[in-house]
Amino acid sequence: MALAEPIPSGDEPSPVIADEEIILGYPSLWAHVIHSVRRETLPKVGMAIVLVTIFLAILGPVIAPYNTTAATNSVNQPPSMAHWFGTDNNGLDVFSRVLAAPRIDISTALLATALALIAGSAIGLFATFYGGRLGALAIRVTDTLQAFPALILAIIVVVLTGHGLATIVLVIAVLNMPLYARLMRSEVLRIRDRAFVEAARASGLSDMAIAWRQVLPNALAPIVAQMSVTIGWAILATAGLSFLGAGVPPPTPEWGSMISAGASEIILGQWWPSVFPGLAMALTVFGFAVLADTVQTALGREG
Amino acid sequence: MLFEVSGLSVEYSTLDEVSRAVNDVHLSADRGEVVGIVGESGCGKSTLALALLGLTRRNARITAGSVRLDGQPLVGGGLGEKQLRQIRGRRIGLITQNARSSLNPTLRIGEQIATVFATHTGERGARARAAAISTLRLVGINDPERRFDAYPHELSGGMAQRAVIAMAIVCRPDIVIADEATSRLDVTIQAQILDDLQRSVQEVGSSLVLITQDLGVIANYGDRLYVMNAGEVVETAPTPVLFETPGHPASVSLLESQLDLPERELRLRGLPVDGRVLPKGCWLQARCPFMDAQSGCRTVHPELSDVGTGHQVRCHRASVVLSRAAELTR
Amino acid sequence: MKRYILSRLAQVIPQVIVVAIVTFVLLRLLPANPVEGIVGPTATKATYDQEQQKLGLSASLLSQLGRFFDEIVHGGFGNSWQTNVPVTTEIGQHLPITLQLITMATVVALIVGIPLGYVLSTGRGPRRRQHRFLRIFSLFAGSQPDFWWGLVFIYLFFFLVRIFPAPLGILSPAAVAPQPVTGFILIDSLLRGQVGTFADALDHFALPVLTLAFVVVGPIMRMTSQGMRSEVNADYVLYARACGLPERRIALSIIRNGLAPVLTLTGVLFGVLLGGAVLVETVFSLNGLGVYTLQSVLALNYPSIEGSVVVMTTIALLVYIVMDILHALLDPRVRSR
Repeated sequence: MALAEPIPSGDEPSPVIADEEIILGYPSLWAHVIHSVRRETLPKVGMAIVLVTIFLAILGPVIAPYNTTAATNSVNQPPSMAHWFGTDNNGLDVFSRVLAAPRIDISTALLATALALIAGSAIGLFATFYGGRLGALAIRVTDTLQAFPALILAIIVVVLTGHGLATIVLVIAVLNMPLYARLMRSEVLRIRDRAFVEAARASGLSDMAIAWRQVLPNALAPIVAQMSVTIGWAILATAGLSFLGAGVPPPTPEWGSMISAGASEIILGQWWPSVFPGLAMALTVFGFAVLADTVQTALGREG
Repeated sequence: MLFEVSGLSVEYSTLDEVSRAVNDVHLSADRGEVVGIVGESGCGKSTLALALLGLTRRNARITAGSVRLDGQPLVGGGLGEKQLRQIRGRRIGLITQNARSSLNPTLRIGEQIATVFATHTGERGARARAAAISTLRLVGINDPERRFDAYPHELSGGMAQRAVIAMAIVCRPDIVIADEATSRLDVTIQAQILDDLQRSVQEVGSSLVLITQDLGVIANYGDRLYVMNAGEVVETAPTPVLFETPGHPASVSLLESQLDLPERELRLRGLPVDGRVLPKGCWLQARCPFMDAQSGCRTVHPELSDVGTGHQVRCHRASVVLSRAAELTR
Repeated sequence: MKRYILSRLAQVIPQVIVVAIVTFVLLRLLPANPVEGIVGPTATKATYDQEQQKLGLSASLLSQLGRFFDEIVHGGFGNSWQTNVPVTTEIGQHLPITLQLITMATVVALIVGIPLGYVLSTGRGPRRRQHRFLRIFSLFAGSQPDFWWGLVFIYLFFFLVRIFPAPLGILSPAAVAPQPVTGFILIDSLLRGQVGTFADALDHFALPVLTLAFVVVGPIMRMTSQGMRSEVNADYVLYARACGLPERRIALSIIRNGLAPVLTLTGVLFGVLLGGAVLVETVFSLNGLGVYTLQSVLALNYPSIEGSVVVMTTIALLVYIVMDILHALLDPRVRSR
C-alpha cells in the first residue's frame, strides 16, 4: 500500500516554500508545472496516465466491448482475440471490466480527497487563524486520529456500517483530514505574521476577508501538492478494502475486488484475472505519484 | 612575501548565466602583517575569501590566477587535493561570518577543534583536547574546559564566533583569513571579538587578512588596505594613506558613509553592479559621481596605476578624486 | 536525555487511552449488531436479550466503558466472543508473525534504501542514467499496491520459477513447529536448535517480506536523498573542507546528520505497515495480527477488535518513541526541544 509522506508537525514553518512569497499565487506555480510537463518525459507520462484514467472514469463503461456484470459461461479463458484480457471465473470479460473499473476507484478517490482537503483545510484555517487554545485543541484532536491504524479503522467502519460507497468515501476523507488540517495550520502560522497581512489588517479588512484573500492563495500550493498523493492513497485504500471483501461489493467492476477474485487462480497459473486490473491500478497510482512529484518539484524550484 | 595572490578570478554560473564574482585580483601579505580588504556588500569579498583557500561554493569555479603561501601554490599550482588538505587548516586558517552554521551541529565544539588539531598534527586524545582547550581560552572563552562539551546551538553568537576563530588558529597557521568575522554579531560585542581575534592571531604569530565592510574595524588593526568593488581591487594603500587621501570613488564612498562626513554627493549611487552584465569601460560608470566620458570612463577599463608609494588606484579620474577627497578629510 | 524519554513515554498513555475509548465507542455506535450475528435473525426475544446480556451490551455505554478499563487495568481485553479464549492470548499467538514480517521488511528496505538513497543524492553526476532510473524507481515503488505485487511475486517466483514455497502459511506441512519460548517462530526454532524449521520459516517469509520491502524502499530512498542533499550543501561541510578535514570524515558526518529524517520516516512506515499488514497476510495466508483483526471485524467480535486496535496503536506509538530517541541521539538539537 502506498504511503502518504509525513509532513511537518503543525508548529513548524512549512519547509516547502522558501521565503520568497508566491503572492501572485497559483499562476506562477501552474506555469511551472505546465513547463515541467512540457519539457520532461516523466511528467508527460504521468499526466498522460492521469488523463487516460479520468477519461476511462467518465467513458469507460460506455466504450467497454462486453457487459461487465452479467455472468457468462466462458469461464477463465486465457487472453485471446475475442477477449483481449481473457475472462474471469464468472465468465466476465476482463478487458471490459478493467475499462469500467476506474469509474469507481477514481471517483471515490477524487471525492474523498476533495472532502478531506476542504474539511481539513477549513478546520486548519479556522482553528489556527482564530486560534488560541480552542484551535490548538481542535488540531490535537485531529492529530490523535492519526494514531489509529488507518486501514483497520477503515475496515471497521465499512464493515460495521454495511458496505457502501458513501461510507468508503467518508472514511477515507476523515482519515486524511488531519493531514490537510496540519498543512493548512502550518501555512497559516507562517503567513499570519507576514507584513502584507499586517498591512491588510491595518487597512481595516476583516479577519474573514484576510483569511480568504491573503492567506488562502498562498497556503494553497503545498496543499495542492499533497492532493495528488492523497488521491493515490485513496485509490489503494479503496482497492485494498475491496480486496479484503470489506469494500465495494461484487459484481461492480473494481480493481481490488477483481484482483481478489483472481487471486486464488494465480497459484494455478491463471494470471490474467488478477494481473490486468492490478497493472491498470499500478500504472494509475504511478501516474498520480508522478504528478505529485512534478508539483512538489515545481514548488521546490519556486522557492 | 609570505602570501601572494595573483590574477585570481572566480566565476559563478546560475542556470544559463555566468557572472564574474572575483576578477583578476592581486594582493599580498607579509609575515605578521594585518591586511584589510574592504568593500560594500556584494563586491565579492566572501567569494574571494574562499578562493584564497582554493575553495568555491558549488556553482562557482576559479577560472584563473594563483595563490601562493610561502612559495607553495594553493591555487594554480597543480597541487593535488590531498596536499591541499594538508595546507588548509594547518598553514592557512579561515574564519567565516556565519559561525554557527559553519560548525557541525551534531558535534561538540571542543571535539571539532580537537579534530582539526589531530588531523594536522597527528596528536590525538589528551593532547588534542589540551590544544583545543588552550585555544578556546586564548580566543576569550571563559571556562573552556566546560565549554569544550558544548554544542553549537547552545552557544551565543559571540561564543560561536570565538569557537570558529579557535578552529582557524588551533594549528598556528601562517596566515588567517577572516571573512567578515563580526558582521553578523551584535554591535556591542563586535569590538570585543575583534580585539580577541587580533590579539589571538598576533600571539599565534599569524598574518591576518581581515575582510570587512566596516572601515572603522580596519582603521584600528590594518597595516595595509585593499578596496574591492564589483569583484576587482580598485585601490590599495597603507591604512593611514587611504584614510587621508583616498584615490578611488569607491573608497571615498565607503569613507563618506562610515565616517559620517558632511557631503552626501560623493557616494556611489544605486546598487552594486550586476556581475552578469558588465559594461564596456569602467564598471562603475553608472554609479560614479566622478564619471567623465572625456577621461575614458565609458570606453576604457581602468588598470591599477601608482599614485604614490605603495598606493595604487584603478581609476581614470584618480587625480581629481585625490584632490577632492583631500578637501574632505582635512 | 532521560527527561526527554520519560516525557515522550508519558505522552503515549493518554493517546492510547483516547484510541481505546474511541474504538470502544465507535464499535457500539455503528449500526452493526453482533448479537443478531450470533443468535440469528429468527431468535426469540428472550434468547436475544440473554445473549446481549452475556456480551455486556445491554448495560449503558458508560458502565461498559468502565468495565472495559477495569479489564485493561487487569491486563486484558476480555474473552473473544468467538472462541471464549482471552483476547490477549490470541493476540499473543498472532502478533509475532506480523512483527517478524514487518521488522524484516523494514530492515531490508533500510539496508537497500539508504545506500541507494545516498547514491541518488549525489545528484546529477556522470552517472545520469542510473540516477534517472533510481529516481523513477523510488517514485514507482512507493506508490504501488502491495497486495497485487504480492500476487505478482507469487506468480513469478513460485509458479513460473520455483524459488520460493507456496504461499500457504508460515511453515511447510511437513515441518515441525518448535515448542514456543518467545512465540516468535524464527527465534524459537533457533533456540530449539531446529535449523531446518528456521530455514523453512524464513523461506516462507521471503516473498511477503520482499513485497513489503518493495513498497517501502521507495520513500526511504527519497527521504535519504533529500536528507543527504540538504547536508551536502551545508555551510559546515564547506568549512570542514576549509579546515582540511579528510573527505571520508566529512562524508560520515553528512550521512550521520542527514539520517535524522529517515529515522522519523521509518517509524511512520513501521506504523503504516503494521496497520496495512492484513493485505499481505491475506495474500500469503499468514496468520498474523492483521488477518486476526480482519476476521474479528467480519465476525463482529468486539473484544478482539478492541484488543487488536489498542495493541497495534501502542506498538506504533512506542516505535515512534524509539525512533525519536535514536534521532535525539544523533542530533543534540532535538534534545533541548
